[in-house]
Amino acid sequence: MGSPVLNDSILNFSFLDQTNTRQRYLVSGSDSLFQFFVEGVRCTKCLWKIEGGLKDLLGVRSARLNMSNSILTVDLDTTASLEQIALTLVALGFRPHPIRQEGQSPDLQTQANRQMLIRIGLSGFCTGNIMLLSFSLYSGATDSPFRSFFEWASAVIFLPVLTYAAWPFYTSLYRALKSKRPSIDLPIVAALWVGTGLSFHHFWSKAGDVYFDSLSMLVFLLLSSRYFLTRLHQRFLAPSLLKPFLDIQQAHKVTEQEIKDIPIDLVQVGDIIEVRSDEKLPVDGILISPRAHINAAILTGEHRPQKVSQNETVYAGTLLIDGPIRIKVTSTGGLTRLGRLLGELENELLSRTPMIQFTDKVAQVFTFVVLCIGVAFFIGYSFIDSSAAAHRALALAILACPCALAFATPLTQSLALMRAARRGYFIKNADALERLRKVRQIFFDKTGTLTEGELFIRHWLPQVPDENTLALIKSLETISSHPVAKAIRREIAATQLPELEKHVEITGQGVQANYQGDFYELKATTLRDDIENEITTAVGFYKNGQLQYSLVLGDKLKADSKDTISKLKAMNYSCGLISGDNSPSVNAVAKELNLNSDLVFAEASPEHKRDLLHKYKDSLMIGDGVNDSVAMASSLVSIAVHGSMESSLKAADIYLADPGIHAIPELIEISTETFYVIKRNLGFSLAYNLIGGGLALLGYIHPIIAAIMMPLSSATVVLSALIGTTKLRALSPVHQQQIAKPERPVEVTV
Amino acid sequence: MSLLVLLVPMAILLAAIFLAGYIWAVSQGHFDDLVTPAHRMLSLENEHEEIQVNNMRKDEHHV
Repeated sequence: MGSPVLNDSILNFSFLDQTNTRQRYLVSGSDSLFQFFVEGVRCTKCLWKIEGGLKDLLGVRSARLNMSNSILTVDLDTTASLEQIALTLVALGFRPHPIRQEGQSPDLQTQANRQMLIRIGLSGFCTGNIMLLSFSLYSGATDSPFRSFFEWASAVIFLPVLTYAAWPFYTSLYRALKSKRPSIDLPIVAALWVGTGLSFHHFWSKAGDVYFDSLSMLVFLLLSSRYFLTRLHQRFLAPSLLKPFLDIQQAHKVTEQEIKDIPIDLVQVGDIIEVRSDEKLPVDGILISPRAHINAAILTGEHRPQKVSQNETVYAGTLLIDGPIRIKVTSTGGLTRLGRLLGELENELLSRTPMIQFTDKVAQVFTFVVLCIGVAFFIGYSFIDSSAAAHRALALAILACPCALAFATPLTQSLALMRAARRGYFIKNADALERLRKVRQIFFDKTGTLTEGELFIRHWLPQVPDENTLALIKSLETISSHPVAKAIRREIAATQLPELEKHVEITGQGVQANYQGDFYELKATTLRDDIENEITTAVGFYKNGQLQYSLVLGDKLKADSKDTISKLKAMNYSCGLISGDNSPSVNAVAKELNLNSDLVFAEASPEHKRDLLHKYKDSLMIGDGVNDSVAMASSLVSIAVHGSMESSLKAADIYLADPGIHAIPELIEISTETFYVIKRNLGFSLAYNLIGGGLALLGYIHPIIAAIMMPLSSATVVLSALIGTTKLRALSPVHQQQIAKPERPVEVTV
Repeated sequence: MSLLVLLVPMAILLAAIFLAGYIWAVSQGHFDDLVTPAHRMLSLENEHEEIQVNNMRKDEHHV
């Protein structure tokens, strides 16, 4: 039980107690409540630790943790210190984030939820009381002089349900009608009003039944299931992807008199900010200090420090190696490069996929068809027995529900994406998840995907070049982030690098530049066959088109490559390799990993890769998001297993935050299991509607039973989506590894 | 039986008072979090003391 390992910068909560700052953290509408989002809350013991550990601090009137959203609310008097609360939480082994009330949005949501609860309570109350009165009617009061009284009392109690409680259905239907879309609320509202009309008609003509009990129960149960669904949405879809990345609470603002710590959201464009060693940059800005070394892995994929000069731009989320430095702020929060990238990702995640569009259409057609059948049946059957016709048509309208289509499918997909994101698999949108199911071939890139990508120089051919040439080669490779470039920069010791002209990288092929009148290139070359059958890569150094030197670099296979490939082959996928590298190296890897030899392609240019992936239509391409972007864009689905998130997600469909291909079988499993759940829901819904609808029309279902069955079927389908399958549940969320994140506090055991 | 004309509205009135109580509770936020109270109930006095004591000991170690 050692003391927690902590980074100084995240321990600094002193800014919280400055007068002006403290005000901003007050819960809106109160003058003593503050909230923290507490990371690390997993069980009951955490609850005891937190509430128990805080309640005796000076000035703390109460501390209550909400376990469903990990928000701690503390009631403080003026003697209390927010900083001390935060530090206590850290000492207990959690990571606190003070919550500043962003405008009104959390409040609105709570208000909306409460209003819904009141509507549900009211309709429940009315349903219960009406049913008591109905009970007497069913027991024979229909023959007594009190019949009118009971029926009238039922009608009166029903009125608040019809008006206030059912109001959400009316507004939703109105919106749907305005945009000329059929909506599931149409049969519900129709059933409500037709039922009400019929009941009043029977009441006044003193003949036939009243249905206020069924209708009231319908509203109650429907509201309840909608509320449940909304809370689910809020719980699963709300947590933002942005939070862990822009996870910095304060910035050091530089003013004429002093350096002050201010909360990150108070930073303005144009401010001067100081950033210290090992801190993450909180904003985008321009470097004022002469130079800085920054680990920009999150944006570029390059873990080696990048040197930044004065007046160059630096980005939020990157890590400063050698501080302190000063920067002038150019963008903050969601407008930073990282913020915008993650914002786009969040939007894409929730957008409508082809499958959802399809199910939406089917749901609309379904409601229309049901309505038609109901009306037709009513008209037709009323000649035989009008009261029974009304009963049955009403039962049908109430019972029919395209719930699996309308909400279970989107919910299932969103849940899948969220589960995946929590494990560090960033899927651009649910469409990619659907396409994963259709994959038959899997193509891998070689360097960096199947191999470690940490190349080392084996030998030069025909011999090691002279100092000047080495320096030239190193200079050529300064602009590339390809594994070959990294190896060359690392292993060539030259420091005085010549300045090059027209220095460009041809992504996926090589680099070139002009120097002192000559044209130099460094690119892939074919090896002569006398190199042993080892895992290698070769590049050639060309001067004016003539090969001067060949460089053979060695590589190792990744530890998990072999296992993953065998797993994938066991799952019936053919595994191949597409690489720009030379044949011997590629064949060596293919042999070692037991890939399908007819799917191994070496020395492929980007165009050739694209053609190959067009030829093999159902393929999954796995590689480096930056260097394989053409290939990624051409395949059915593509996964980037390393490189920067930003560039990867432009070309690839999925980005894996943890390097390595071991996650691929799991991803595929998420996709197939999710589809299975969707099929299960659709099957259930179809069976329910056919059987239930049939029984209703045959008269076996009383409207009150229908009113119970319909929400039950929705609940079943939603529960089915939540429960998923055993395999899906087994994928417990693992907090994904973040690049260059300060060490997390070690949980202190009690 | 005609007493029912008086009894039914009276019963509804009584029930309505409870409904009003429910509406009040909802607007005061008592139903916002239904998960945590179940866990909170399980904590025992002793456990709390244990945690307190351990916290204090930890504080002694920290500077």
